[in-house]
Amino acid sequence: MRECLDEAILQSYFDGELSGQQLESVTSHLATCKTCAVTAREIEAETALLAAAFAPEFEAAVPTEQLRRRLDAAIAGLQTQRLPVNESSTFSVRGWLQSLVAPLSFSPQRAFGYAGLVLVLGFAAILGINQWRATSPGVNLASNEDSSRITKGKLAVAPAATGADSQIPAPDSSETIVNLPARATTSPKSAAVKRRPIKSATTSAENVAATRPDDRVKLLPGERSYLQTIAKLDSTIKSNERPMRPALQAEYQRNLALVDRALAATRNAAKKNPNDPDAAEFMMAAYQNKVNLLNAVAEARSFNRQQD
Amino acid sequence: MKFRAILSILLFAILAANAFAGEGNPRASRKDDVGEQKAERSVVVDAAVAVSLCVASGNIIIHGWNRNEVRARSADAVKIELAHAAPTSGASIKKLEVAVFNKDEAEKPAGKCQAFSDIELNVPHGATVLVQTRDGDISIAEVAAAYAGTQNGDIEVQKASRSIEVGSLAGNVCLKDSSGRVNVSSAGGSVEAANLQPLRADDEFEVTTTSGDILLSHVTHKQINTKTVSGNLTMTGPLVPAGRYWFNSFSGDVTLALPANSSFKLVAKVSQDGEIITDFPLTLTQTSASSAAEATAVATADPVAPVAKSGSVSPVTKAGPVVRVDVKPKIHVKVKPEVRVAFSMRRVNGIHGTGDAIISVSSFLGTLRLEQN
Repeated sequence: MRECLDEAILQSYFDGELSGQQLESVTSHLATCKTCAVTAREIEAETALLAAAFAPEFEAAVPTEQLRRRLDAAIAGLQTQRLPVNESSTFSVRGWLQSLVAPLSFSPQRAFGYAGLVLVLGFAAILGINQWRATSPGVNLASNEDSSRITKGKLAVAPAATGADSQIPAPDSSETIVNLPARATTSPKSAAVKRRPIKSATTSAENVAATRPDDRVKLLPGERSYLQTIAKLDSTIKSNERPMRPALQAEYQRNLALVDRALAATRNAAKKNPNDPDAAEFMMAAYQNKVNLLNAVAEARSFNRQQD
Repeated sequence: MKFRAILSILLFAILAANAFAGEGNPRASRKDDVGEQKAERSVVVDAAVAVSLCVASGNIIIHGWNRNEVRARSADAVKIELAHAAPTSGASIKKLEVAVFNKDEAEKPAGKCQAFSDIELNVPHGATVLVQTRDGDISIAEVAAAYAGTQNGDIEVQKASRSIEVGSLAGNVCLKDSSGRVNVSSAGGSVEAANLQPLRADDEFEVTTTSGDILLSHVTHKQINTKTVSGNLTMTGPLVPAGRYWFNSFSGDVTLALPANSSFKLVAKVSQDGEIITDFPLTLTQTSASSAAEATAVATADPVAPVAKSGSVSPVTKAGPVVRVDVKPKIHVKVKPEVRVAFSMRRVNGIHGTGDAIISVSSFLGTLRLEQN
């Protein structure tokens, strides 16, 4: 007999933290091990209890105190950096004019001194130009690094927007970086408003890709109704906000992958043999299989929801 | 003095031990009570009563008996209720709902399908049972009609006399020695059916799975319809005269093990890569493929010998009267199915004997085997 599962693994199982393979392994173990099944049942009950108890906390999109403190500290840091600039604005105009006039009062010693300085500066300029020419790739690299750093910052906010950078006007990177703390300190609603342009850019990217002539999917006869049914069933399954039970999820994902593979292959065949009714029949059978599977999972979710 | 002190300490220790023991005992006895408790209810019902039961987890065992009475028992549940509408005078109960209460919910009724208990029911032979569970196994025997659903548990139905309709996601389904209409669906679980027969002429037998295997043995319905995506389909036993059989698979193999005297027409649809291997001497009436030449059946001295003119169909004669036909694909691309480059459908129609039954097989990537028992 196999050893019983560790409680931490079972907890991860119910938290949806296991990989597909682990998920299946745990599910099959639970089906055969009564002791683990009892433990799993207890953990599930506890998890459900905690989830119910903390539901209001999780639903409220309020930054935690720790996050708030970190943001306050970040803002304070920005203000202290600006402080020296503010101090320099307190100098007097008179002192500044005096400092300009003072070097213009000539004497023979000063004249030699200035001539020497001009020579030194001249040599330094020539050397500097030569050096710059020799190391110009390094300068380019540095500039690339700068731009990549900005791009990374942008990615951190909207990773989905990368695919369409060339086609979509990129949001102002400086705005993204500077506004980040300020955005976070505002309410979640305003944060959502700030993010909206990036999200819409992603959507428009998808639209662009979707409307690109090469990528446009031509539906075969009879496909549309199946696709509509599948979309409805899919939304029904996803409309349940509670996470899918791990055992159900494992079974669903495994079988969905199979059905999708069958669908892709039969669709490919039907597309390549447009006048062959048998090819179309295979494809329709694959669609029907998917509908059957989604129906079964939707029913199962509905059943599980009754118990929650 | 010292002796007194020691004595008093000892006395105190004994009293304390007693106190602890006294506190512990009731808990233990309560647990024992709960452990030994068996909830049981029974009620007199109509012979054709419909009994429904739904639990979250726990095994369900239902057995038909010769009494017009329903009895429900559970060693886990703290209470069982048999809910039914008040029967009119002289009439018996025709519909009954079994409600199960968890140990920790003795005072308040559990929500629908929330119980976690094993339960055993006895129902009249003529009863229709509707049971649903999430994780438990279901076993039903000797009832008229069985409707059962589970997500992870297995389902077993034996000696059902009128109809069976069961659904499972991951669990296996096993049907035995029953009659009537049959409908089974399963995603990942396998389906095994043995010794099933129709009650009426139009009773159908239908099984659908996604990845589960389907194994039929001596199923004598006139219409058998099986579909799977990646499971293997196997049928053994005699064909019914004028029977109609459909076997549909994407990547699973279809194996039909039939008696040598079987008489059938075969309509096989396979992809160009699909293979048909038969022990039966088939007379091909048609083979076609989008890129292959049309084949026509040609009568020979031996009327049952397979004759094919298609370049892609090559008969391989075995010792004795058994002839094997290998339908070899013209293009065999040894790569994963999703990146195959050449798909082409192939239809092979053949006949054996007088062609009483009709067997339709569709397999996209799998192999069809017709084996002689």
